[in-house]
Amino acid sequence: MKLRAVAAVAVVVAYGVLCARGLSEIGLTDDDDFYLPAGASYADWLFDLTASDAFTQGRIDRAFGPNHEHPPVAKYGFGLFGKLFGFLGPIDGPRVFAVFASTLCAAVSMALAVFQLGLTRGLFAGTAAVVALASMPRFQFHSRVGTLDVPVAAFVLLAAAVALWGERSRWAGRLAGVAFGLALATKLNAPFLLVPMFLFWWLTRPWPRLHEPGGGPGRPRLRLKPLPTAFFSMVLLGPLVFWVSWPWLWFDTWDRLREYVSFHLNHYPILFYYFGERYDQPFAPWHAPFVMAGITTPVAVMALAAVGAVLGVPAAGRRVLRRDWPVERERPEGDLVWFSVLNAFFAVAPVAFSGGPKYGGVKLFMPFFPFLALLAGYGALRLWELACRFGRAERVAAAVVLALGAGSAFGYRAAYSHRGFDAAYGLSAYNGWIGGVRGATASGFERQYYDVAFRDQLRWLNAHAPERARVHFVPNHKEYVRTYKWFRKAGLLREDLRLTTSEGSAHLVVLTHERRFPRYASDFVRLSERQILFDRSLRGTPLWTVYAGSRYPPSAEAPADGPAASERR
Amino acid sequence: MGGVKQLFWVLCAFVAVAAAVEGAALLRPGPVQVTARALVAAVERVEKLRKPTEPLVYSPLLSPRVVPALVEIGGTVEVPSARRAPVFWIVDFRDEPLRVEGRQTRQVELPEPLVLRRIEREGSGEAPAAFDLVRDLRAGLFRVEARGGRVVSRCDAPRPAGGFSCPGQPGWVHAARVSHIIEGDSRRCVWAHPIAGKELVIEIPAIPVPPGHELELTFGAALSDSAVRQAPNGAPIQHRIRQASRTRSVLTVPNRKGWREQTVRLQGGLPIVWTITTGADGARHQCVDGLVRIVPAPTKAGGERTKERVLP
Repeated sequence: MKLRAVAAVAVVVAYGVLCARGLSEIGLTDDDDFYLPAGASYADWLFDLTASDAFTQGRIDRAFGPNHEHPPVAKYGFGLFGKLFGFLGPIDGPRVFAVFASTLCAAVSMALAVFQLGLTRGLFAGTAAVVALASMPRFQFHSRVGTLDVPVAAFVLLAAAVALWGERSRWAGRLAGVAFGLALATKLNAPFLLVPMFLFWWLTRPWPRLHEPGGGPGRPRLRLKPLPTAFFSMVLLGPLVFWVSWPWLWFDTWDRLREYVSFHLNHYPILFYYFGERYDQPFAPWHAPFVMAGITTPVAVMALAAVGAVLGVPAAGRRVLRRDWPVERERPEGDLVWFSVLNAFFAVAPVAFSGGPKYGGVKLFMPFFPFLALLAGYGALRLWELACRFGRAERVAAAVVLALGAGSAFGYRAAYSHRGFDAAYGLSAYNGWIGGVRGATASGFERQYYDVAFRDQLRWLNAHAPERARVHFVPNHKEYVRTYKWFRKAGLLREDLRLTTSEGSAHLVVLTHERRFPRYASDFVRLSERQILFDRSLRGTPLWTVYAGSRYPPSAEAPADGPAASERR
Repeated sequence: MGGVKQLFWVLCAFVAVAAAVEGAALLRPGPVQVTARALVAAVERVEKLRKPTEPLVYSPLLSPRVVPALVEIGGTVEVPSARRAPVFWIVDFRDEPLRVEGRQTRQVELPEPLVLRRIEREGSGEAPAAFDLVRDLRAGLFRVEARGGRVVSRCDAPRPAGGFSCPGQPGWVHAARVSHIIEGDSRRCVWAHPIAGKELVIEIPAIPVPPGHELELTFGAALSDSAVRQAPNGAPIQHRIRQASRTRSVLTVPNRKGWREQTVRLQGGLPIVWTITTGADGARHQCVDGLVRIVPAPTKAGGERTKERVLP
């Protein structure tokens, strides 16, 4: 018993260690520049709470003005972890919080599996779920950057789990509102959690009796199903926690709340390349999020999730059909199946059907992945249990199949890594279904997004740029101005290198191959006249290329052909 | 029990196939490097087979190191719209062909790993454009004239960012291919910023036509969405098409989002002069497009019909 509990903890810790490894290989996204400084500002306010003006509007507006379009919880995390892990530098220190959030996903998944399925079965399913989560290159990339997507995935999962536990614990039911409030105060995905949880309760809670107990001849009375404590806690306590945790809303509450909602309802369009079409406004079609999830998640993980859904039908069916039966033994398993399926679907559905913008690969529906991993973990368990009902041959077959599934999924993660399993090129990851990044590019998908300032790009520039070189990025230079200033701040960029907004005055021009930008084709044609100094390809697909700019010194020696001049993985 | 066992094996096979699909993509050998021989062959075959009106597209998977040879013969990575090019060619990878709309009507084998594909799309019954402003933009096609017709500048100086600048004029007066966001959609067109007090002139050279044929010019323009946002009181822009000193069509682009377009029948064998003017040139970020096709002349006279469309 104790050993299994220790094993469950060890699996989660191993996930955290794997996630933290390679943190320094992950590039900077254009969102890091929003959230990291905002986090530092919020954390400064927290450390200054004893100051006499700490609660005045002026001080709060100064502290919480930066990035007030998004709620603060993840940014508190970045700020506090930035102080705690300051020795890792201004980029990686705060981003330890993203690792923490990702590890929280693993921990809650393990806890859900153990609580719903028992320690032995739960350890198996939980381990498989954690392995599934660890194998997803896109989720793993987002688990190491200073953005809100993995933190909201963690808090949505936590809130959903606490609400589920609230079915059997009054305390958990009461705390569900606190967890939900934290999720609300992380990102706008969170309110949609109420939909799958409401459906879950509607499906699994017994109908009230039409007649009064005792069998009297009283008139039948139509009653609504009783809602659990967790629901009321989420609806009442959640918004309160949201408001308390976000001092920006303490003043001019309604105006600022309206501003917050309005910002997201009228979110500026962001370019998205999908099946060879460039989408801006109108946004991409409803199926884009489902297709993106389908072609970027490891194929074996999706297959195991499907196995979980199929083999979970009896438990889920019994849970609904016999919901009035007071037998507790089988209920938690049925709950887990409904819980995972409903939450996975409704994590994607608002993005797909809301009519809002769709962009950034899978980032907008990050809470989907832990639920999918949980279902895949359950699928692995049920497949193994099914094998155990038969002979040795079946057990060997199931073990081999599960090993192949895990191997292929981790091979997928490794393929989009720069070193080991770092998933540094996770945003270029496409699964075998579409033929990897090469097949996806030929099919008209974007091979990278988020204007990532890659660490190997930085290293190349430091090593090969001429002295006092000016560097210009095309097609979207302005975002690199924001990210490279962090490299400078962290002391990672060579002192004499500068970015220049004028391509004409650049010594080096870096072209990132992103077809969603309308000017990309003309940039590519124009730069083809210039000398190529380096090109980074991944699995036969160009990702970024360094060209000699008009001020590249003719006498400078271009890096010789070979690994320095062209790296392909 | 037997049914459950069968289900077990089906599910095992399902997961194994999923792992195999992933594994196959991961273990697939990298693409064969494009050799100089393959590239030379590609260029030769392209030049031999395609008509000047049929654009060349190259696969986005091609290494930037081999692209210059294809760019030199007019290749681009962007697939042209069906309206602009009903027929086009792709220098593609044999093992990973580019997914494009249209019907492949020909495939020409090239040395590994390349292949040349000819694609035809809906509407390809139309005659190819004899002149395409985006395709045929070149030095000196644009000029700036003072009111009265005196040439102030010829736009023939190559710009580092592409296209041609007009010496002596502000930097924003130039002719270059651009992609503008117009009513939320990206559109490939040519930058044509009008100048207050002067005329921006595009002169399409004379296009000879066979007997019984004439020219059909479809010309259009729009302000970028951001220009309309920036200048809510911006001035409208006038476009005039002339041939042999006669005005054949006029089009006004108001300060509103959206593409404006007209079609006009013209005589063959005479230059077409397209003048663009405005009363005030603040934030007039305009781009234009023009296609000239050779079409059969109507049996009865009626060559000056114009048809204006305000596209959504």
